[in-house]
Amino acid sequence: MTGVLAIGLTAPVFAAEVKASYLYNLSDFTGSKPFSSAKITLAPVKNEIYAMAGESVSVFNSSGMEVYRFDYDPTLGVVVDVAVEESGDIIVLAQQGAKFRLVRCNFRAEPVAPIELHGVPEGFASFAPNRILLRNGSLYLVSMAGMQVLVASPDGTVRKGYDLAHSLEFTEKERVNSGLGGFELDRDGNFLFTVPAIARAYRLLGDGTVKSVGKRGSAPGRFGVISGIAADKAGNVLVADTLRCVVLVFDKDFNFVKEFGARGIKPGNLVGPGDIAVDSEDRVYVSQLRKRGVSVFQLSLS
Amino acid sequence: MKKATQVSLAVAASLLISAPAAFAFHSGGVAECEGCHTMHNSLDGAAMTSATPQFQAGPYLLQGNDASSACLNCHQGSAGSYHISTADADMPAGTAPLQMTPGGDFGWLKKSYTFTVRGSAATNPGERHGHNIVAGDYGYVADATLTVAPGGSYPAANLACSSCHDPHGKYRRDATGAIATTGLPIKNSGSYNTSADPTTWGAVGVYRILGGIGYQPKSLAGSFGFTQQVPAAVAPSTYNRSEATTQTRVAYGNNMSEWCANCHTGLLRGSYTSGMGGLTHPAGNGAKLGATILANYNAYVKSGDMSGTSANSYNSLVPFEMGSTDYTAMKAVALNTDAQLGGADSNSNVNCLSCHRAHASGFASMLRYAHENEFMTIADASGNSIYDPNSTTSAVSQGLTAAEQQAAYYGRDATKFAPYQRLLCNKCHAKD
Repeated sequence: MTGVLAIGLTAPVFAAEVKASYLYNLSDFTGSKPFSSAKITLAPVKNEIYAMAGESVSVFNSSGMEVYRFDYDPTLGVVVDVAVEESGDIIVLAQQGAKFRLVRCNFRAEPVAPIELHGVPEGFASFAPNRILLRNGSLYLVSMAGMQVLVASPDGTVRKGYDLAHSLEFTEKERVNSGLGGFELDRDGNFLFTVPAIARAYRLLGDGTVKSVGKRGSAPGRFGVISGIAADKAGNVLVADTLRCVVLVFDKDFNFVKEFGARGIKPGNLVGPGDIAVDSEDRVYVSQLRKRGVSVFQLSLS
Repeated sequence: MKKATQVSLAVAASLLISAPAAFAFHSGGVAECEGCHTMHNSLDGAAMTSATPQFQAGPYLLQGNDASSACLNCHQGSAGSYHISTADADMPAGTAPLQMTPGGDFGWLKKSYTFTVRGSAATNPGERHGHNIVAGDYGYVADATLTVAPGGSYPAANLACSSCHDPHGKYRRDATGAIATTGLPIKNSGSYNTSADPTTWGAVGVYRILGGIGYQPKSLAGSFGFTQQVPAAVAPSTYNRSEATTQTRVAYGNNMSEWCANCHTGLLRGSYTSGMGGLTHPAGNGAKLGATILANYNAYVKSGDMSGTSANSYNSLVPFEMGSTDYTAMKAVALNTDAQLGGADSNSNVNCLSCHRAHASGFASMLRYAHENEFMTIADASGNSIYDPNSTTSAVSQGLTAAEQQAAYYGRDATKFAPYQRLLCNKCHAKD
């Protein structure tokens, strides 16, 4: 999967090397959980998948079976997103009124202690995160609408702030008119994100270098309305397209490889895919509209 | 929140990754055809969209499952920007939909509440919060109670984004103010205070690409063609925002009520004589405020406070129509800075949007403020105005949490109102 760069975006390359096989939907004992537009968070240490789609947070084991669920605690606020520490503690990003708060909870999601942010940089005064990720001992708080990212230690000390709109040389009006459709870190800690308004997916490297891909269209390899983004363990980048009902796979240099899914109601079909995640076994979790839940695919490379 | 860490903003100049200039999709007229349609569903020997088999597109060659779902593919999302709907996952119980456009967030249609009042069960159904567009992919279903438009016969089962907005944006306004479906090319949107004006060589799109005279969605059978022309209005270019600090003022010019009457024919009341029977509330180009209402509007601040003046009395929760098609004048006041809060004058008239939001709101009948109880707020022990925190047994809250109430008032703190604030009907009628 390396060394070949000069390839057109719409010309599938290495198509035979990537295969996506539908496995199952995240389920409980009554069948597929009928989520619509669920957010997905992975807890690699515990091999668990967290899905949030309204009234509660559902926790699934590695086989896709719901093993636990916690409803929102009024004292905690509304759970917007969660991240899971190696210890099993859950860091909850909650909203109370117009304010957000971070709360460390035990594995049952019982509040243990609040996490206060310290050292928030200028320019982030109105920062309102709605996604949280935990990687290598750092918390990543993301404002999808504001296109900003704060990196903090688990105790809340801010280490760095990123303004992605500035990185992309957006004007303030363009920031307001765009926002992020998806955000994730690849296995090297680079930022992956999508901007649906301009049909473009980005990778921001640690040295500030930005690479991007995307051209509007309906043909394979092109973007309709993109949303979630994630990377597999080989570095391939997956982008969900809500309009085209597919997940597109690009290699790490953003050459188009293939796409999978298809609108429909059969197993393996997708309806309005949104958030996506890829676990350490290259299982791809795809959240959908229309109470279609979260479908799981096995990505295999040959 | 002090600065302690340097923000990493620097990006090497060699990156050359600046955003494409065009963020607009509609630009006042018809957008990229392929954004919504596929012609043959075939390219390079394969299906272009996997939604349907090769050589078979959706209805009307659409890529989406239905028209409104196709719209929401772009227009549902995170807070801000051009979004007018919030995903279920982003508005769990106890929280409000995120969008604060003047038209409102369709997500309120999914917000149903149950509570008790004096021991009796009460409901505040989401279905009553707005126009029930049908968008299957996004969980929006037809109104089960009102099967046709109130005051008309437009079928609820066919209510879609395209019922009001012409997805092809054919209606255009030229430099003379004339509106037509063809003629000069549409060079840009005409909806915003920053929009370029029409010229001798180019028209601009009409407000919000609404449908005008003769408009009827192709998917709707029967005779429902619009008989009323699109309204004159201008919005600030940034309009999806909290009004916690400053208001978002849309300059409504004229003809909004007449246009709404394309479907709600029986509700239009442009001419009237006070005291007559058999009327509906006046709304229309002829429904001028009159001296008494005008004086009330410009003086009313909140319950018990009539200290306003004509220079500062505008309230986006009770907007009026300017009675004008002067786009220069409309652009001058269509701001989000509070720099133009001038009140009504003798040309001003009531229009449907004086009370209702076009899409949806946090209140029954898609009103801009609560009306199913005499109060909008209550008071704390010190007499400060607060939103009622009791969402289980209070008629004031109607089941909404205090945070939801504040969001329904577009982020306004309760102290913008009086303690035990009476309904904003009083902005015009001042009976409190």
